[in-house]
Amino acid sequence: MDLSTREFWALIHGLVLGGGFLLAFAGGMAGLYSLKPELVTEAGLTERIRRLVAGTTAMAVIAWVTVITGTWIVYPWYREDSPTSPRSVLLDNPDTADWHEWAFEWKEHIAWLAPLLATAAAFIVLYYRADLIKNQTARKVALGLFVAAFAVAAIAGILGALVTKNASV
Amino acid sequence: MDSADSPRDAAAQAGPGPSGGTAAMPKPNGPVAAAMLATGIGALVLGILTVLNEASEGIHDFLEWSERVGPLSGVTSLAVIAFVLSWGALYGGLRDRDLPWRPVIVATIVLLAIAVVLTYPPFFELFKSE
Repeated sequence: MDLSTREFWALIHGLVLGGGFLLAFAGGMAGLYSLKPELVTEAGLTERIRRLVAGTTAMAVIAWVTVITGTWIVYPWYREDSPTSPRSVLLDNPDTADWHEWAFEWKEHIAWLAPLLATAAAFIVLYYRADLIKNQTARKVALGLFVAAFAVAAIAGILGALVTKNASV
Repeated sequence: MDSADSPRDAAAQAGPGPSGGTAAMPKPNGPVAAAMLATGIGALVLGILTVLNEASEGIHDFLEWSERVGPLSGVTSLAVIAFVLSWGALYGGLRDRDLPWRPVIVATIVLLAIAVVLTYPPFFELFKSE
């Protein structure tokens, strides 16, 4: 069983980084949601903030690596000027053209909002650190940005998976 | 959430930290506002360039920084540059300031919502040049 270079990078972009993103989101989400004075002791706060910084920073870094590998490594194979490229295959058939014209066109743009949102969320956590527990408005803003980053990435990821099901690199 | 509260008000509402000690004066929220607004600006630039790429052949060619990637290379690179530069500029202007949360949150949401509309294919294809 062999993986071609294209299959390897599609796997890294879609599954490895996507899985890491999901894991970092779950950790960061749990940490941010429950960061309330009545739920955390002082000793617990130090450990909780360390995990929160790791989770939110990891999600931001993974989001950047995912869009950069997707745009600069995988996307050129998708769009190459050949009759067998996924883009050409999808556009050749009127029944599948929308997978490119709607799904992929939206995915390739909206995905880039995820690293911007995730970076802002991570910055709020890094800026306030333990003080975040005393500033519930900032915690809610970070939570909103964090969830928005995940939502955007989920749209892009689902569309990417559906496009790949119809024509893969 | 009473988003009109400043961070200092929020700290006063929260009272002492888990240790029970007196709450110290919190950090100003200017740097956070800068990050939020820069996110909105970067997203808006992404959206505007997506529409301009469809509307103008000249802009389409300008945005093709890489032949393999096509105009998406210029669109996304310029959006990231706008994000970084606007964050730096806003950080410099706001780092010591304490702003009301509500206008910053509303402005960020509006910028992001416009960006989502501008990057939605049925919308940006309305501007497709012949």
